[in-house]
Amino acid sequence: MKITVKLYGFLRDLAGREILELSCEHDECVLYRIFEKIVQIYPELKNYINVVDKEIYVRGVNIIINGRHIMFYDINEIVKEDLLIDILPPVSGGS
Amino acid sequence: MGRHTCPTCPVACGVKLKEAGRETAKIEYETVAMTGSNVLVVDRPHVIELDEVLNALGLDTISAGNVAAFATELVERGILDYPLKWGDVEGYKRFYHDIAYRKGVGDIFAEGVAKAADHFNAHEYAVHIKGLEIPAYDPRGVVGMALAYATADRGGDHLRAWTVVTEISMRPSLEDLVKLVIHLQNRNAALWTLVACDNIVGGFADPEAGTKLYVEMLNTLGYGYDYGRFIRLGERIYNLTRLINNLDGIYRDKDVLPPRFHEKREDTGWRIAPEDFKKMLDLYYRYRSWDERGAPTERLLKDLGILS
Repeated sequence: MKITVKLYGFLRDLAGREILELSCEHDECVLYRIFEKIVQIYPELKNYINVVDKEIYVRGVNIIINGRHIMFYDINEIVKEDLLIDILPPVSGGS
Repeated sequence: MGRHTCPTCPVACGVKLKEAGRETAKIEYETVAMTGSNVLVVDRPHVIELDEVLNALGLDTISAGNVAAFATELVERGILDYPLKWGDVEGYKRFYHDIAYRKGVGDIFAEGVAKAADHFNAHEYAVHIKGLEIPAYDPRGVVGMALAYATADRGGDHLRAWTVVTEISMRPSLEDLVKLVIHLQNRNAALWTLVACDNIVGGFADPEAGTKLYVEMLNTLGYGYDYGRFIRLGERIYNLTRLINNLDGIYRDKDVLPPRFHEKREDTGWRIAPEDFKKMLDLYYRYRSWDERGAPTERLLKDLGILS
């Protein structure tokens, strides 16, 4: 399964690139395992994404997968399609 | 150049600047987004010019920017005949004057996006909730704001519950996000009885931080509040405003997103799927103890002491 990770804002500077590409096979294609792999390959993202006990924790970023927010996915289910993962930094402002 | 503030406020969040040799005010984030990038005006001096025009005319920059974008899209689609195009600074100045003086089509747009959409039969392009134009957080990227907008008592508002900072600092779980929206709505309803400033508590990722300080300050006056009781006060207020809305015919059919937010963004493909929004709203009603119509249950109202 093809996985494309697109980084926004300062995350691009951190990883040194805008797009990250990886792949998964069979049992690897479970969301929490995919994010474990992302952080393993790109440890610069470890301050912002953590996988602990099969749970994904974020710190200062938002994650959109194939156009839908990650919270609408079951992170323990095996994904059956190629993924585009957008990782967004925070926005500012308010009033 | 200095700060300025509303009368008696110690926070003084306003800033005086010098731009191109003249004194002006800091442009707010919402203004930059809604009257700037939202209409493809992308340089600071022009955004400042438009901000000054709107301030002088007494028009809100969020609503004005929304209305301007709506009008520009109608022109682009051949529905409206008016000299306006994306990024047209002089055109927007003329448009805002036409709104303020209700001149020509300005008289229609002076009523806001919702009424203008009625007039032009163009609801699919209108971005508002319950008649209030949406501010500068696209919920297709920050999905907590979708629920916050849809369930704010006064319409598409980002202040009743501003989920942005907390949402990106927690475990991304639907249940936790819905609870966050409810907690922020209750918390803010309580805080505003103290005329407390959003800028103080809004910057904390932890929604309880800052508020506990206010409760301590309140208790120095002899009130015996704890945090839970303070939030309960806000819950009572939020349910009272919901009852008023129910009396005005506002139920689940009005707790909706504009069609645009269910469409994929052209640049990123992000969207709020209708079935995902339904999940959020169903959970929200359940956690709020509202019935399927979106009305507070009698049991809840007795529990809150609103009904005896």
